[in-house]
Amino acid sequence: MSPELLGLVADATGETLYMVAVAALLGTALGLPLGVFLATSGRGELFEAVALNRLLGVLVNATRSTPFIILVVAIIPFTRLIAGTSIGTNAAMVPLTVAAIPFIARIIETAVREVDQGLIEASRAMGATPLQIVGKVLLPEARPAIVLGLTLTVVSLIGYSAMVGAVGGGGLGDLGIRYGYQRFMPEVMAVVVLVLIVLVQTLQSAGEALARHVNKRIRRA
Amino acid sequence: MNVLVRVDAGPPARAGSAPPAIRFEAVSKTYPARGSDALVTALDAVSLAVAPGEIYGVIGRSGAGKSTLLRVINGLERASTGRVLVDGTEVGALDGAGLRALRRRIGMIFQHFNLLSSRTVFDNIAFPLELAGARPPAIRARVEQLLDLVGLEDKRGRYPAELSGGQKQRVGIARALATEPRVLLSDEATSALDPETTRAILELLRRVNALTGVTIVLITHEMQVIKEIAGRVAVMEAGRIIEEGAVYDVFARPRTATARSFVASVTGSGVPADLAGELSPQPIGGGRAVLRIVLTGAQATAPIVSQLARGAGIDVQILSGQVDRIGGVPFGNLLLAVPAQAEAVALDLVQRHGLSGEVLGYVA
Repeated sequence: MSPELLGLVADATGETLYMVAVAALLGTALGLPLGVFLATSGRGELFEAVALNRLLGVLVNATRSTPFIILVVAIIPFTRLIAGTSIGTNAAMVPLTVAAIPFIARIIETAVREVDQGLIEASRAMGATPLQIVGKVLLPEARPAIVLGLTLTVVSLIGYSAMVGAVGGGGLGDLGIRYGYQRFMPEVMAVVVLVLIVLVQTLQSAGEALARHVNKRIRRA
Repeated sequence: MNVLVRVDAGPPARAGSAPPAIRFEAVSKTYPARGSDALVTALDAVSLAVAPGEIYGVIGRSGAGKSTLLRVINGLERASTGRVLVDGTEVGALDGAGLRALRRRIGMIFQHFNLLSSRTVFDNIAFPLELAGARPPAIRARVEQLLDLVGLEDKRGRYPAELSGGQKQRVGIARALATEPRVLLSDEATSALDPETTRAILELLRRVNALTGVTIVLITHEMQVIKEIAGRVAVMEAGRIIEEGAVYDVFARPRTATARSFVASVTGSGVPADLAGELSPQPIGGGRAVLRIVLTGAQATAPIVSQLARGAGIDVQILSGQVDRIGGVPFGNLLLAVPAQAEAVALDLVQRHGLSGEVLGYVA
């Protein structure tokens, strides 16, 4: 493979990582509070708001049930509003973030719901405020599950990022389609797939190691 | 160790000599039943008073309402009608902030400990102090005292997953005492522990009670726990207190069937199953009468068997029996068989020794 092609692969890898990182960070910033709220606003829960909980639940499901490639096209006006354009890496981060928010919200919700109800009761009995319960009990106790869930999110986002090539988003997926498929260069396709495998493998292992590190529920020798 | 003694609490007070630490005035609690309009009654017009420094036990089977009774004290659940007063403060009248302030004066321990798995022993004990906004040096000093009290200095850096059940409950107790509460609520705190660990935990609770004068309300389904530690006991059934009194009196003279069966679970006053099958209500020719003698109070140690045998010349067979101590006073049950024709003489002798006896039936 020529040095030019290798340069393309390196650039594409950088674009993918950049898009995924920004989408994951923004998605967490918005999805985490949303997920905590979804997990704590049901009937009889800390921030009881049943109607709002239902409404947000429907919104989250609607976003999650839209195929990503449809979402990318469907929100082009919104993308233009935010990024000023609907083409390029910056524009591609808008649908990636929009897809990441409900995904992360559901993951956080599940993780928080897994926390033993007895801990919430004990904290209330000690005079904790609802916000103290979230900050000092629910999030720390759910940390291992949250770390694993965010790892899953990042891996999924890498997959999604391959599709934003459709709107000129760049990245590894785009490179694979344009060079590997449309220009009949199977070696480019092979390299793209190889880089993706290494990326996902590395992120998954790092995420699992971190989750193990923050999990104090397992007895260690 | 005596750094923990409260100056203001004084020695544990006797029931009735001070305004109650906890008072229920006709407290009821009803829930809407799931999936219907019917109401479930968890508490039914419960009235009681717990004196400061007292260890008050509540016993009942699951679903009797004892868990709700405990939770209306610190407002985890709200009474539907009636008033709950803690140190004179009406719990139901408090707003969110008032309730949180009250809860910092009421410690609580749980059957499943409810420790934070992501925090070390030290940080678990520090947790309620953190919630109350205490400063780190004050937190450190207080947690050190508590680690010493519960004997876990060497486990301070461990996580709950690395502790045994008994150690976890010690952390739970230390945590519950961190804010120097006036009242400690114990929710089946020993039900997940083996008998030996149970005794050690109850011993710790008794020591804490003597040392700090903290009022303890404990709920349990084990009469053994009541016997070991409580001064007074309430027996609950279907949301009501059906019997209440000094533990010794309830053991000696249970008035309800439920109380009798709880007492029997500890004292073994029940008739052995094989014998129960042979008992006949009518005397059997040449047979024997089965007597139950309840040994209570000062007369519990009366030499009743030798009196029957030597004094009255009656052949006495011991079928089963147990003598125990409750609150330092001996208490027991003795099941004897005597010849049927000597029944009246034997009962008379038992009564003359100040003991109570009854004929359970006859065997061949």
